[in-house]
Amino acid sequence: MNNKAMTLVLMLAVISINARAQLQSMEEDELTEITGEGVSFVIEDFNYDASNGVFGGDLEFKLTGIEDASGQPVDIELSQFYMSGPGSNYGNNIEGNYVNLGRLTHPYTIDMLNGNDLAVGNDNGWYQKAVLEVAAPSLLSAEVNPTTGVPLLRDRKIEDGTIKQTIKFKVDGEGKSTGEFDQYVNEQGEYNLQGYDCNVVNSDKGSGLCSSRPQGAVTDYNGERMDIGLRFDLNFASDSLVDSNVNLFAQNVSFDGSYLRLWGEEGIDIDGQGELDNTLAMEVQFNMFASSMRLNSCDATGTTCGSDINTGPVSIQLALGDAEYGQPLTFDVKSDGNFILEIQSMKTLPTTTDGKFFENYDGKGPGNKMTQAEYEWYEDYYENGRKSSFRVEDVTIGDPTNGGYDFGNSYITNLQIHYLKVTSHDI
Amino acid sequence: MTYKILAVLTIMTSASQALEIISDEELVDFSGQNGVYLSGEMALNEFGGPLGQEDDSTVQTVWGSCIEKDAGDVSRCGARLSFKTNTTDGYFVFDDMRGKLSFEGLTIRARELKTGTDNAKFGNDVTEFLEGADGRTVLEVGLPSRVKFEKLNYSIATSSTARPTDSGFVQQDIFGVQLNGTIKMHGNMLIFPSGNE
Repeated sequence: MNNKAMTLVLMLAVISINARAQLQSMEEDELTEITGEGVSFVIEDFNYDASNGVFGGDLEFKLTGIEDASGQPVDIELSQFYMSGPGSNYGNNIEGNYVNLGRLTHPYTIDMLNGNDLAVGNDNGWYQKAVLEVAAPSLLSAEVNPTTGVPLLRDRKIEDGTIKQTIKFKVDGEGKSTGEFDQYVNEQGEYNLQGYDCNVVNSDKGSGLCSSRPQGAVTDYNGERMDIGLRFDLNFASDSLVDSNVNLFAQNVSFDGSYLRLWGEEGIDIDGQGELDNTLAMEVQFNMFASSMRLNSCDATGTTCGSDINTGPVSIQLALGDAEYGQPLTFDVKSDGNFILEIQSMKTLPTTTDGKFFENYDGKGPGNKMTQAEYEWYEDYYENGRKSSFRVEDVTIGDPTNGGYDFGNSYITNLQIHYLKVTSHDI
Repeated sequence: MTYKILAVLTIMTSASQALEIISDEELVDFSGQNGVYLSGEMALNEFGGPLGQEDDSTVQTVWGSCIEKDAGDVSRCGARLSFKTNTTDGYFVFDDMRGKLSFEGLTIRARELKTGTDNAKFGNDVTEFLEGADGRTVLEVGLPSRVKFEKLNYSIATSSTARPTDSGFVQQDIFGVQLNGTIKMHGNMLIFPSGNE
């Protein structure tokens, strides 16, 4: 850096001080358009490659401190981790293969939200609180206005504590709900999808809920769904266990609708000591959609591999914690250093005897054993509480036309967590 | 690292003596190309530290330099961050953090998105993003093309106390990470305010 350049820099500093005098006031109507809750971001032309020597890099990435059943250390070494544009061919086509993450109109966001806009009524963990949210691009509902980009829809859209929109389930031949997601409908029962099918490549607008577009939705554009691959080597210290390798690849992946919400809760006993504690509370929605996945195992050079486990479309929608029904996800460390991760047990009504559920309930709806209000409370909980779903289609091992196996589709839908406690133990 | 900073400071001092006035005409020619290009290196407790040398004997047996740790004289030389997110016992810990991280080619600049030049890069979303305006300025962070790690270590743990020297200290290490080598990446992160709907 020579003196002249330095002079310029210093002059710029002087200029910027002068420029400050030219700040202009904003009109009221300009200000009303800016609420400034948070920041949004997208990544343009992204790819990422962390590879060891076998896969063209020089990275050594080791996870340590993990032991096998006999207490011997297990070294987990990451031999490749990539994120790239579609068509990566299991990590062979990463260089120059880029993808956008998030759309300018549906970006990743970090926001402070008004808790009163997140849940129905005032008897929930968010009421009168600010909630910090980190969110992936949104799922698109019928009511999302594409020109304004609002609102962020989760499983329902709520404004001022009132539901404006709900899920409609598929029905069977007798008109009964199958419990399988069909459409989002507004108050008038209308629906009109604005997004793209979350799993199908080359899907068109109006075919699904995802805002991230697949390759081919826009001509000459790679879309917003990336290929992800992970290759692990497991090295066991004990002689009785054979070192192995595990590879996991996912194609056309998006995380639309995922979010992490953090807020403060008071009056929950999170450590089981009987006293009420103040704590950080969480609600997590982890969504992952892929057009296909592959799991296999190879030798140390990555060239000779066993049979592939291939899948067709994969959808994971994992809901952890439910602030609206008094079931936040909490994290605590005990005095012996072990942790407890807990989804608080389902709230019972104050009128419920001894805080127990209706042991002698006859299953006939409101009547002797249960009042109308109690019945409605539970009905609401089971219908509207947060649920997880997992769907894996077309699972095959090897080549089904040549001695392999075809396992078809697997679904777990509408799994509702009433209570979950995960603790660590010294072994 | 310290010497490099001192050298830059010296240049700045001498430069300030040579300030010259730039006329308006000269300034007009200056287009004010914005943005910075950064290369950097961050070393974290690479050799451990002298922390504890003046303290009591308990502290001295726990913290020290990494040479002392390798010799078995002390139990740790890396940095430690403890978090507590509630009123109960116990901490969530990033422990034994040490090593070196360097990167090349991190850029930061203001970028104006316009329909004509940028629409194809974002799958025709720019027109909608601009909401009728000619252009909209966002903050662009160009990701470094290479990030190099040298013996970067850390471990994730849960612990009964904030410091390993506190009484009643018990820690459960969940796992540790060791990084050595280069990660390649590409992309521009565009940051803009949300909530102006």
